[in-house]
Parts: sequence; C-alpha cells; structure tokens
Amino acid sequence: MTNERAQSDVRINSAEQGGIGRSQIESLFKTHYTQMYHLALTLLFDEAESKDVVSDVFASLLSGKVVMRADNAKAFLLASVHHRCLNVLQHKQVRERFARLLTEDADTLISDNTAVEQMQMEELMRYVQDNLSPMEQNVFRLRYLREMTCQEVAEVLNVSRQTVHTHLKQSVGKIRKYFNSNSKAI
Amino acid sequence: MMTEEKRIEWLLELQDHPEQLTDEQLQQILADDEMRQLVKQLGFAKRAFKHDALKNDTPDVDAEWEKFAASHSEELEILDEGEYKPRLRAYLAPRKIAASFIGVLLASGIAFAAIQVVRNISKPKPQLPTTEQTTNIESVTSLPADTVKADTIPVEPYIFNNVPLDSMLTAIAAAHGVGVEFENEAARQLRFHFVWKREDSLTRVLEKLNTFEAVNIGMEDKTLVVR
Repeated sequence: MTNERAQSDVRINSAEQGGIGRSQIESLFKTHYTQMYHLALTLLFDEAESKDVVSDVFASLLSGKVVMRADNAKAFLLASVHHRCLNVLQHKQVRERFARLLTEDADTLISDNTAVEQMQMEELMRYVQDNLSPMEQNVFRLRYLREMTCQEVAEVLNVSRQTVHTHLKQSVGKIRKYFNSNSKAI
Repeated sequence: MMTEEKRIEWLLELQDHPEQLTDEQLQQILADDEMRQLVKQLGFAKRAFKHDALKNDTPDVDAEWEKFAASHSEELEILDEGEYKPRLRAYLAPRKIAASFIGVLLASGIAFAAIQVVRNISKPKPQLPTTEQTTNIESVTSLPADTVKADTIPVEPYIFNNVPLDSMLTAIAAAHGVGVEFENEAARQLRFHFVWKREDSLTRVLEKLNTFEAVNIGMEDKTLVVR
C-alpha cells in the first residue's frame, strides 16, 4: 500500500527531467509485476507468453514510445497488459481459442476494470466451492486449466473416461446455471 | 431445438477433438447464440479458476527484474548516467519533436471524440474506446516548435478497443482524406479490437482490417467501401 502510494507520485517521462529513471523503472517493475503477470495468466494461461507480455509493457516504457501518466501507473500498466493479451489472443487460431476456452473479444470480458472483474471471479468461485463437489472441481481444473484431454484426466484420476465426462458435464451444467439463473451477463 | 444437456455434451466432445473441426464447421457451431454464450461463460469460469489458483502463486519478481535488466541493459545504462548523452538525446528527440505536433494530434483527437459523441447520442454504447496512448501535455507544450519536421514524427499506434467498424473507419478515413461508404449496413456495428499503426499506408491498414473474416473493405475512387 505504502509502496503503491509512493509509486503514484513518480513522474514518468517528463521531457524536462529527461525521461524515466532506472530506479523508477525498477520500482514500478517490482511493485506491479505480480499483479500484471497474474492478469496476463488469467487471459493467456501460458507462463512464457504472460512473462513476455509484461516484459514488453516495461520495454515500451523504457523505449519512450509510450508515455505514462504518473498518477495512474497501476491502472495504466494493467490496461496495457490487457490490451497486449487481447492482441496475442487474436493472433491465435479460432480452433485453438475454442478448444482452450480463450476469450479473445473485448466484449467477452465483463469489465475493463480489473478490480470489478476480480470480484466477479471471486463471486463465481464462491458458488463453485459451494455447489461443485471436490471431484467436479478437480476434473474441471485438470481438463481446462491443465488442458488435459478427458482421456488424460481419466488416467490421472484412475477412473473411466465416461466418469470424467459425467463430472465435467455436471460442472459445466452448474456453471451454466449460475450465469443463467443470476443473470450474470457476460 | 437442442436441449441444454445435449448442447453441453456436444461442446465437450468437440473440445476434446478440435482437430476434427474445420474452421467453417466451427463458425457454424459458434453461429448458434446459445453455444457461443456457453463458450464465453466457460471461458470466464476458466479465468476465475485460474485467478483462484494464483492466490498462492508468487513469482520471483527479483529474478524477473534481473532478467529484464539484463536483456535491456543498454537502455538502462543510459538512464543510469542521469544526464543526456548524444545517444540519449537522439533517443528522446522524436518525443520532443512530436510535442510540437500536439496541435495536430489534439485536432485529430477532437475529431475522433466528436465522432464518438455523435455515436453515443444516437446509440449509447456499453464501452467507450480506450487507448494505450497517452500524452503528457504539460511537459511537451513548453518545447520549441521550430525543431519540427513532419516526416520525423514517430506516430504511436492508436488502439481501438471494442469499437464499431463505423467509428473506426470514419477516423481512419478522415486521417487519410478519403470517404467511407457502407454497402453492407450490418457491418457498421461490428466491433473490433484493432491496433492502428498510423504510419502504415491506407492500403496496409485495409489489408490488416481485411484479415478479419467478417470484413471486406475495398477502395473505390477515394472512398472506402465496406461490402
């Protein structure tokens, strides 16, 4: 908190001051890296791609090609990550986006406001924890987060593919019910 | 009419064997509103699961900084010196030059804003366009204007985020001094995320826009024609 507040007073790229300093870049990097990286991961689901995106945002600051207002460094950095992730996703094949459930359209994102979006994710996860059995949650994680096929999930859990399919169907049905019954439009 | 259960079963099967789908088949599947909505909702759920999983995941920020610093050592060294060197001056010069064109940028910004205002009055939009580009007016207005050469300005890309094609093309056409005509009226409201590199020629911009499957834009007698 203190660090972020101090950061917000940093004046970036003022032409009179000769641009951003090394210590300022380092401080911004260390303050915001984790949140930027996590945002990228929740869009790209790939560690290397996410690191590249965050690194590119700082590289663009360093190059002076992008000017950042000092009073909203955090919002600017997160928005930059968001935009770059969307560009990465749009360059992926439609088939890959479909298979991996990647949301590439800006309008599929609930909000540009990261804080609001995170609250909505947390609300959904409370529903998941209350309504999906541990097995259903586990199958969903392995199938979509670990990106295993149903057969691979079955082997890991030592159950039949049909069992995996049944749990997955139930998980998806409950998640669908959450959105529909609560009018959680996305 | 497909039942909800059948739709979910179908989706799970398709996602398990995406290699069996052609792009055309996929377009047809996603043309179904309910299916598209289901995919979006699951996409958000996947993000929520990931967000939850990341609570206990802390990257080694110091190590990442060291990597970044090593791969950008040259730029950082310049900053370390704390004063302008010729190389740094050359590095920063385009920014100063660009400052003198603030009037031009503001004018185009106002034109674009005006387009947005008209659009917003006629049809409220859920989301305004956003851009990564910002301009520090305070620091640049004090710079001398006599150093300017128009052809030396590094034009920063403009990012249209979820902007209707109608507004986007109007802005792009205005910048290139051409008109816009929509033969395909439905295309007006198609929304895109598009990075407009303003140093690109109009032909190049059209090439990029035409990579979107839903769009076909041609050029006829100084007018962009959307078919």
